[in-house]
Amino acid sequence: MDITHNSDRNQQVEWSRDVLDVLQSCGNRTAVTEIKQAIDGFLQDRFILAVLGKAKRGKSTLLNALLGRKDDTVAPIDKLPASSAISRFRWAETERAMVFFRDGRQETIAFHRIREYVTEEHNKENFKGVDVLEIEGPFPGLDHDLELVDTPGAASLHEHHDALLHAFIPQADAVIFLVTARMPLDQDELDLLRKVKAADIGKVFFAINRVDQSSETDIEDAVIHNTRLLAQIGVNVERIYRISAKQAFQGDLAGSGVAAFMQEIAEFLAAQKGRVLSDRFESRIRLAVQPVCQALAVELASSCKTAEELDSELRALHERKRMIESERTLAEREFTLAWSKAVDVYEEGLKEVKSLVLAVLTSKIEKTSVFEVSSLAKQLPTVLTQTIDDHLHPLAVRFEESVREACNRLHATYPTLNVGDVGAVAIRSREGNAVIAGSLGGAATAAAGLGLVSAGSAAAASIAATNAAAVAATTTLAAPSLLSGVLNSLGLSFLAPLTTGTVTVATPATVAATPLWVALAGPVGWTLVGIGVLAVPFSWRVSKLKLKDKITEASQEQVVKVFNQILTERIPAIRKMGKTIVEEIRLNLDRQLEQVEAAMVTARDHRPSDKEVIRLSEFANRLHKLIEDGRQGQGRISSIPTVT
Amino acid sequence: MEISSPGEVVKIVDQFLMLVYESAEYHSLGEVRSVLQEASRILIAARRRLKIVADRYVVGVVGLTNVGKSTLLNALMGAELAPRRNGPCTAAPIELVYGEKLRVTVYYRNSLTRPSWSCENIEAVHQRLALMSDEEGEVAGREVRKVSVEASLPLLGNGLVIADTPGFGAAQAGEADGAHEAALKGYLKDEVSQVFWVVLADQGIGKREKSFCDTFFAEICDDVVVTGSEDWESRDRERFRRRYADVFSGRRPQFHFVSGLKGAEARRAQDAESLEKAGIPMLEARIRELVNPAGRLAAVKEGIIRLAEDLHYWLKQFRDNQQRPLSTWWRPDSWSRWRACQPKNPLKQQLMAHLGTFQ
Repeated sequence: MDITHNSDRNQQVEWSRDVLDVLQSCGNRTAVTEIKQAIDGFLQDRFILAVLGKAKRGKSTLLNALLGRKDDTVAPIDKLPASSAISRFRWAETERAMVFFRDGRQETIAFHRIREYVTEEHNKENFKGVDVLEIEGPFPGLDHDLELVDTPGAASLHEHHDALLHAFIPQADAVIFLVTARMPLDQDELDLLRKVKAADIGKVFFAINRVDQSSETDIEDAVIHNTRLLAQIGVNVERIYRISAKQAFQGDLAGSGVAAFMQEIAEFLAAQKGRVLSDRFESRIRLAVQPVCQALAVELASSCKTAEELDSELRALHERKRMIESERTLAEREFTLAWSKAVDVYEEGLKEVKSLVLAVLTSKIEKTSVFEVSSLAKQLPTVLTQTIDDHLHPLAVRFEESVREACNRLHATYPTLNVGDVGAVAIRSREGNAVIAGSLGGAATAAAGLGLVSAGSAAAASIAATNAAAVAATTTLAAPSLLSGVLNSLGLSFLAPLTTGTVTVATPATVAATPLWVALAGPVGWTLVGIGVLAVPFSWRVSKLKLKDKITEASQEQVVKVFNQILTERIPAIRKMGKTIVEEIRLNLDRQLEQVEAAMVTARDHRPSDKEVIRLSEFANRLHKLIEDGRQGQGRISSIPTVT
Repeated sequence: MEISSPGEVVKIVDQFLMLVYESAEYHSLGEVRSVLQEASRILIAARRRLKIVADRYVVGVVGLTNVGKSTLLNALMGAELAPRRNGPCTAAPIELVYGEKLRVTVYYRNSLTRPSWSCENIEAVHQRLALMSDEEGEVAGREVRKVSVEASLPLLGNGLVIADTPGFGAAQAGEADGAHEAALKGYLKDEVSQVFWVVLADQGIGKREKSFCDTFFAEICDDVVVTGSEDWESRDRERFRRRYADVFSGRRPQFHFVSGLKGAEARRAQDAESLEKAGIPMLEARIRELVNPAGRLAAVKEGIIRLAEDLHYWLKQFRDNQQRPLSTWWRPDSWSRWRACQPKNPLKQQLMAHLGTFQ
């Protein structure tokens, strides 16, 4: 059973390969590399759907059913709470299981050994230090762009399970939340749902499992009870599904309700989130094609001009380039300054937060009565991550705000290159637009007089128009709003530089993809993704922590360690991000200018023969057609409201 | 066997507790302190069990909402007395008390009135209870302290009262966390002598239950009833035991694997063999053991002697590792007081034999 619409995806990859073919025959290497990377990335980019719930709600059973497994080798099931680690499942042609350990080691294991790492029975209190398992295989139920994630049950006696969950939840794109009819929704489950909500996961598939073991009235009662509570905490659930994961696992997909459930998940993925991945992909392709189209348009337009005309246009271009140089340097410097200032403030704030966290923890431990010490010791991993998160949050939010503002400002002030109708090149800067190369000089039009040229310019015109549309589309499409609705604004405003002008140099896709991804990984994402989990000691030995002073010592050590890690690893990485953004934006404009210039120079020095003009027009037409085709697909996409 | 009156046992337990508790404060070594604190907890529990007057012994049956407490009780009683509580709506515990005739009585928290109805049959009892949870549930639910149901059932002799408590843990719409549980907590603390903790085999024990147990009944709970375990092999039962033994931090609860559902069915069918298979008679025997006042006193005595043995053994081991003189383990003034208390009492002498080797 397909969980996503694979065909759409394949079509998209085919489309991008067609574009690649045309570009290869154009001989444009930069764009070719960019598109190849985009395709690779797209093929690996997966939508993360996590199965969440308390212990013993049937998560692993459902997962096995979704994967289409006949046994529980990959996601072990037991009468006692089984899963003790996070397992990520992906489709691949060959079976492979990789264990990633906390200390950075990794190991490939056979499927039958998975049990040794992911179950409480064989890996008690995670003494093996497993971080995550990645399991790949030709799972019949799993589609290529989906990653299914099995998680340990929340609120079990095993405290490290909660810590793992806490760190993982922000990474999920959507969740399946499992409850049972027998056990009414309780505080632990509400807490878990609140975490899902806090992580801005827009979509929750809420299912009552084990309906085969409960009476109809019990299920009805549970639905009423759950609906009321969900409304109370503000978690929006369209429907409460009724399933029996066990029946599905045993082969009765239709009768178990899981088939219908999967159908809805598939529809959702196809309609909403799955699209985000493809939108991102398509916009990346467009951004790579854009300079090529511009150059083609300019070249075609130039083909009917005299060498003198082109010379003067080139001079104008050089002139303009010099003029904007100081302007862009200024914008870059302003940005760099704002960025590093934000990082400085953040770094400074970290020290305060650190001492605050230490104080809070110490007093919390001190206030704990003697009789509760051992239970506190057990809860420590969760308490630690949560305290750190809570106190770091305001600082991270402030940081994100200033960084976002800096990004917006950079886009507003940075010069842009426009290729307007019929190959007219304009550079927008603070001093206003300057048209450098009038596309069809009056004399030239007359002189050319041939059908060929008009065919060429018509193509050029349509390409320019396409470009306009393409980039206008990017403003709505490029937003990698995968993870969070709230951060949409952050992503979008960054990615949608100026929707007012005709064609603008759109944000380099790579800039949007790399650093913002980190930002988008959750409200505290800048600092805590991958670090929150560090607050959970490698192997937490509760037995040794019966004394308050030892607990205090251990937790302080841990907090200090985490903050040091942020200082030595995250801060430099964030600093570097600022540089990357500047470099990318500079590179992109340079690339465009260069291609336009090259096109003009080519046109001046080697007057294209009629044959070449035909060839160029052909390229232009083919690219145009491909982009148009892509857009038809996207018209549908953009009509779907973005998740907010 | 010697005869110690309950009063004497009480004094000895008190003194023993003083000795252990003060010595725990006195020690600087973490390990010793925590072991002595553990001993104090056990003694506090023993003390609590003795305090309860002999004519009334309340066994509380607690567990999460919907784990099947009522079904289990029905199987145990052989009568469908315990009402099925659908959803976590009824907040008051229901006491099943021995009485010649069926009768329902309501006790309020803030009123002297005790409305009471005699009932023709069990059906009428159910109707009465259902009426209460429907009509008074929302408004008066929190004011009803408890409801007692009198019935002439064989198990309810010798002052045994079985309390069916409302489930805890379920979230309540429009209610602050824990408000619902407060009533139950108060009842457990004030009136219940012994707790049987019902858990569902296939749900295991979770964090919230554990913390509830720690705070409110760990000291008076020696029995975990694992219901719904009809399809659990003995190997799985053993694994269950091992997995959750830690919940009681050092104490050794008994795990009773039963099936409330199968038991209730067997009762209806009067099928003794199936009843046995469902584990019900074993559980019944365990309850009877607790009910008998003399048996209870014996159990307490046995418990503290075992404790003294354990302490002796542990301290000796510890001393061997540390090479420290024995006499330093007790706080001197506590020790003198302890020695002076009831020197002739046989129980005391037995305890001294274990604790006194340190002199």
